[in-house]
Amino acid sequence: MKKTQFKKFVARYKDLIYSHAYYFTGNTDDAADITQEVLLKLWHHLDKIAPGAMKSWLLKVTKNLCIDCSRRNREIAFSTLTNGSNPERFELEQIETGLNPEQETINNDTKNRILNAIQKLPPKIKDVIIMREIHDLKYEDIASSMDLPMNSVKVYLHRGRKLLFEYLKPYFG
Amino acid sequence: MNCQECQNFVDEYFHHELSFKIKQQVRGHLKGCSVCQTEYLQYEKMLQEISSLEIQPCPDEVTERVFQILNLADEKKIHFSFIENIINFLSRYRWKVVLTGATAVIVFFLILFYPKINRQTDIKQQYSEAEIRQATDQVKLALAYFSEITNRTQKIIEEQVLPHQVIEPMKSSIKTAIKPLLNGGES
Repeated sequence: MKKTQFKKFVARYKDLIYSHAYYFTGNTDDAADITQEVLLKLWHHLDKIAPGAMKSWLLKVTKNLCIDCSRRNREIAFSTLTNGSNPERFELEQIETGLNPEQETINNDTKNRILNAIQKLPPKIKDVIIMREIHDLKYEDIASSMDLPMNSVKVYLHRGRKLLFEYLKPYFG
Repeated sequence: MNCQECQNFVDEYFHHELSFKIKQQVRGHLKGCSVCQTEYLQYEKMLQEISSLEIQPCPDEVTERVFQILNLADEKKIHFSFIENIINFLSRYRWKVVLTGATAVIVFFLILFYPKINRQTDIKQQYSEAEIRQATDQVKLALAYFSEITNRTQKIIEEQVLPHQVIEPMKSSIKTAIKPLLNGGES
């Protein structure tokens, strides 16, 4: 019974979780790890989650794990930088964008530029932009998963679009 | 409306979130200002590009790995299946209700008898054994007096009250009955 229910939820939400993690972290490996962790948490908490709150619960857990992951990556990047094993310029770039060198070198198409710009956003704004602009979620869903009032969501969204425009203006100009 | 104000409203204008009055002002400015118009078109293009980003499909390996881990978790669970069976059995036969009832009865009797037990222990704590023995002797003496009084009262009743109450009325009734005979048949 629990297995069937779990598989049903996995089939419905796995792409949303993975996609959010992918656009947040900017790489597929972290996205896969985060998705796996979220699904395992879902299995353990399945009985406690109200059926109507499933989507916001999953997004909340995904969001938190994404923040943890990017924080971890930043710490690793910083420790590598202080050890002085790699060229300074690349490490600074990595801290700023959170991307690996391969992705950084091939991001000459529009999607990669946008992805790169999204990485530069502050975490909360990044979450809101991904949820609204890419996944087309409702304001209510975003507000409940972020534990924010609806107006704050709109403010973050507005700021996020402005920041993205600042980053991408040279490209679209 | 100047260029700075217009550019501040670009996002709301694009998403139709402005009041009619401000919307008209922005529209008027955009018609007359080529710089802001270009800016607006760039903004529009950027938002279209962002919203054209697709949801990334989750690779099957990820879910397969999760199911694999959870199958291991299921094997671990077998160790607890005996306990689970006991719980199921108890819940099926409503033992929870029986146990709750029994507990309630025990608690009720404890509440009922606790003050008595407590009082006895209190007395034992308050008085010494010699005092208790003395009090018991006094009670026995009082009972002996009471018994004596009862016996004496009974004797008095038998000797004095009964003759006075039963025999005297009988005597008077006999006298009344034989009075005509003594008077020679006259009433």
